[in-house]
Amino acid sequence: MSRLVVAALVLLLSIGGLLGAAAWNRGASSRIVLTERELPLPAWWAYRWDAGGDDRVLRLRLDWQPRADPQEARLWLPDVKLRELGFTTGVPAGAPEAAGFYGRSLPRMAWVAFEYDGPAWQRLVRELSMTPRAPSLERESRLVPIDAGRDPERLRQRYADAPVLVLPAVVGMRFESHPTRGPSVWAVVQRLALPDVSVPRGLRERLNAFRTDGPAPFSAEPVTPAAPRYEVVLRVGRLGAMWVEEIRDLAD
Amino acid sequence: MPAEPRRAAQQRADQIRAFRAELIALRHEGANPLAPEQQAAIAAHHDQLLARLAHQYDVDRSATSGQLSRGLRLASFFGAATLVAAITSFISRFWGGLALPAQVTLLTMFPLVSLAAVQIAAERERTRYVAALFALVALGTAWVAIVLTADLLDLPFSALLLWPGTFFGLALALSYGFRLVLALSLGSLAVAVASVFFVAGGVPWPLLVERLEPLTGAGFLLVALARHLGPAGEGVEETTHATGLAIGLGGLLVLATADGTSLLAFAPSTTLLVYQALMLIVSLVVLSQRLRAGDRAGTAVATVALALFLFVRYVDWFWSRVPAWAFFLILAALAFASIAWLRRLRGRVES
Repeated sequence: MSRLVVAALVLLLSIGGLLGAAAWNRGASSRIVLTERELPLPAWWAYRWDAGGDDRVLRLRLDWQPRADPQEARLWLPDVKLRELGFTTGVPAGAPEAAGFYGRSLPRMAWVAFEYDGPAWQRLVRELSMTPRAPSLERESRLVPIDAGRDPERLRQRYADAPVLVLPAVVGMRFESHPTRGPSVWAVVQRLALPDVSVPRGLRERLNAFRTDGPAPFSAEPVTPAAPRYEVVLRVGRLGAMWVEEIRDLAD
Repeated sequence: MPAEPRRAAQQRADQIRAFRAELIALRHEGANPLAPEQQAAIAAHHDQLLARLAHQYDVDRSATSGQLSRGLRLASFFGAATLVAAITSFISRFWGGLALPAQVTLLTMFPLVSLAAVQIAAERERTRYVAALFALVALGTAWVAIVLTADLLDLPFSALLLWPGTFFGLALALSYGFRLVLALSLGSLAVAVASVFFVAGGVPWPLLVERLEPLTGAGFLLVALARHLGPAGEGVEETTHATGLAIGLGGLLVLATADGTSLLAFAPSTTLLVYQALMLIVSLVVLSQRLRAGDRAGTAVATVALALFLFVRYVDWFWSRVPAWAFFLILAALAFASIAWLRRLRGRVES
């Protein structure tokens, strides 16, 4: 019996601890306004899949530009930065052991600064517009990773005046031996520690207007129209956990 | 008093059953060593003893009731698993319609109510099948509560959250000796210990299932600690030992088989060779130790791990080198050789 009481106390303390952590996270926060391009509707919500299942938790996934091209990645994640994150970069890309060495390299947890609709995005647009078959960028997320580090506070201070989100993410090394460009070593953001954010019950109704009864596409990908229809006021707390503060219809 | 009273009681009941069966067989063969009054006295004593053991420990008095007990254990497990699945599906289906306080309260209530059900069931039935079912439900819903509360609050599922679920499970398992709950919680304890290694190095902790040394080490750590944990309750030492061996030898087996699962900085082929040698040595040592200690569960785990390792090695080394018919013929020959070896071993043991 006494051990069951211990079990119950452990559970209550852990739930209390989680509530405390959430409160501490929200104690200090930064604010940013994103649009449907960065936080698209999930297909199950937009196309009313799973009829009668509207009471599931609605989560919006944060989309960002991967900057996965080696040259592009090295602009914001040079060797110095990678060493700061804990990676070993001593083996040159052309060395025979490079493939095995970087293949075994473990990803690292890092704080990544994502800039919204800033110079990094403009640079990407310019570069892509010069390619022979330039893709349409209207639907693309304008959130671009620009910096990374192990100390979130330093990143927040560095970009205090810019529309920048500082989020915990997993960064990993890549090695590729291209037939024309030769061997390259670079790093990419593999995923965010918290890839999506829940929509509070009180704000769900605001996204009702963007649902459709039309035929659903054969894909579970998020739905993004050419022009964004809503914007989301997002806050990011001390732990890098986000929450939705407001959702606004851009037609209003 | 024996360390595991229920197990000792069941063993005694089995001995009585075997004794009675043998006595009947002897009577049929015309060799009756006991006088009628002796037989009556022994039978009366055994009846009393069985009644006492059944009252105190709910032992199985016949082979059929033993089979039914195993069925009951299986039914408890499936009942618990489906109940947790039902609760989880219910949550995912209707969750968005509730406010956060209601969500968190409901999530916390499921395991707390299950704990109360464990207590009530344990007080009312000595078999503890229903209590074991509720214990598994309590464990499952506690994990659901921790994971979903973090999710609802948009907090990351950090490695720190592995600890409360583990401690909850251990406290629950030790309350009334729920072995499956104990084994599952020891498994999550090994994961939590291994996660510390990754978190300290700034590496995402879920990687512990891809790079297996820390988890394997945590498994063998459990084996080393098993004896010290024994006094915590009935069956704790045996369960800890078997769980640790399953994790440790399972990890070594994967390290010795799959490329890219190690943290070692050697060439992949060297790493595989190192772990193949280690796996062979460790599993043979563990097998001989467990055989000597008379530990059935530990012997079974070590045997399965060794057999799997040898089979995988055999397939890996010979499948592409010899024709299929020869491959299977060698396997059959090995089976015959093992039968001959085991017969000789049995003969030696019996003599």
